[in-house]
Amino acid sequence: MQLCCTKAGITVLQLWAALVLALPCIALLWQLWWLCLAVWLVCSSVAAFFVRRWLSRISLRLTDFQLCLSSGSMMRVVRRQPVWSVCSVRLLQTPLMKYTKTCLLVLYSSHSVWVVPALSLEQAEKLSLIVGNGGRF
Amino acid sequence: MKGIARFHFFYSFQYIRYAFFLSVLPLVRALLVFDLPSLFTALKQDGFIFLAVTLFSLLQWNAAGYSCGQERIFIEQGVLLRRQLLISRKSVAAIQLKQPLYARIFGATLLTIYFKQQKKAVSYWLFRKDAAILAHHLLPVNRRDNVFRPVGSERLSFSLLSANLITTGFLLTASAHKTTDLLGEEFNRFAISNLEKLEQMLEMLFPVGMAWLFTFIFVLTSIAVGYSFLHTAGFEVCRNGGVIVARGGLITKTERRILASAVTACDVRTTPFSRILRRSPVYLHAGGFSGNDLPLMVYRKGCEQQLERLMPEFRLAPLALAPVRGRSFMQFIWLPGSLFLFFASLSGVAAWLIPEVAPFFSLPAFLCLVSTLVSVEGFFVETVQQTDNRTLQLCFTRFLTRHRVCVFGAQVGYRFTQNPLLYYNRWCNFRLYLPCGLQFRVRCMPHTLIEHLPMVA
Repeated sequence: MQLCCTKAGITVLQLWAALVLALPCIALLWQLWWLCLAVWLVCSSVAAFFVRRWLSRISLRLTDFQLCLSSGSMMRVVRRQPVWSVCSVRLLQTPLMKYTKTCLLVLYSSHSVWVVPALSLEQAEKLSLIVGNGGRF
Repeated sequence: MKGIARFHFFYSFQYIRYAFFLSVLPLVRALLVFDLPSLFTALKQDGFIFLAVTLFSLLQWNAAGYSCGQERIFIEQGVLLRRQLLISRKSVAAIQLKQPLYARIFGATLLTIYFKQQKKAVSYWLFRKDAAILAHHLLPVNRRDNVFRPVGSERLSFSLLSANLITTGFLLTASAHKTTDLLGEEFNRFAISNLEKLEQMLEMLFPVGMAWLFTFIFVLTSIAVGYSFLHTAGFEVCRNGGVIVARGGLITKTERRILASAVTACDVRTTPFSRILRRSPVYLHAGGFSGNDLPLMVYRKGCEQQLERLMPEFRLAPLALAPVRGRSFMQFIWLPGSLFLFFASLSGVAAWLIPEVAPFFSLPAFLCLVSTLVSVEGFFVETVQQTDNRTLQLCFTRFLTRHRVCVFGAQVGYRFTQNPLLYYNRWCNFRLYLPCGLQFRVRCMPHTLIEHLPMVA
């Protein structure tokens, strides 16, 4: 079973990045509205490009009672842990994520916390059921 | 044990001690300047604070308690905010019974419970008998067959290897600051004047800077070894019914019970001291229990049976050369090497301009040189491999120490990272995470080997 970030989920996170970037733009370029808008547009599009690139590389795989999360392209990171070491699973949904049927998956284990953003809600629920069942489908 | 049992009244001290420190400081200051009116005002205020906090603590103590069931312990705490904690016997990885001297006088024991899947531990002050009963209930030990009991030169080497100079240095600095706060500058001057006498004696043999350095090292080592000697007095390790028991100590008596099936890793550390003594301290990690402050035993090459009696699954494969072809040498030595060059150049400049200060830079330069040599060794021996009994063995170096870790537990996580250079050469850095929060790093491993590394069963 392999889970990847959905397009809708990626769009939600791109919107969040744009929203967060708006705050420093307004704070730094107060009353220079046209410049502020131009800087914000440039920064948002750059951020959107990198967010898409970063999220498209994230994948969560469940194979043989083992969870494997890989992320990053320049700095590639792969994490692995047995399914039975997962203590609890949390699915987080903002209103926008609820609308797009995506969620943020948080896996708590005895040694680490894994956060997997922009997953399809249906797939994440399926995974959480399997994990709760000790890795048995 | 039936019904709700009370904690020892030391339990309430966790609240009283804050009030005590708040009260004592203004009193000491008023006494030092001998200002009697402000002393009386401080006394009145402190009296009220102390009374209020004592009352609150007594209420807290009265409301707290615990009860034991067949498979679980139920703990209740708090007056206004009621907290209830349910501890399952199956979730316990290790327990520690600690009896400092002041607690022994009042018959109290500090019981700490460590869990299998959680880093956070819980500690409670109990009456000595209650603590023993609860410990027996959680991890029973019926017969004690000694596996390790250091005597004679073994005892000396165990104490030396348990001593931690860096931790002692930090604790000494912190306690010196606290003592100066409480007793004023006079105490500080008194301590320094005593150190000066020792330094003047050493000045007969060494130049001024060197004499101060030797005084500093001598004092630090004496305290660390002295503390370790007291801490490991009467130390013994035994195994019974799947529980490993380690106990000892003269001033502070400590007993640790570790569930053998919960042991996640066994770490054999080779420090520069242990290379000289030809013995390595062994540390056990079980669930949330890191056990980093005291080794469980001392391992000597050729005496594996002792360790295997304690942990039958333990296999320490002989040191072998790791695949070094294409491995980045710079990744291993850049940090200690650059630090060595930095301190060596500082030492050189100081020797030319201010010769008295030069020894203070030579010590870190020497330590960095040793660390560089250890890192060079790491370049040849750092590796991850699966042993014949399906456990995982890691060999890596960190600062001055070479670690050889045998991983048993399934509650571990792997992580491997690749920067563009490592990605191009198909290498990666490997990290292993333990539930107690420790992580072991092995640098520059072949990516294919790590990718197919099985999880520990």
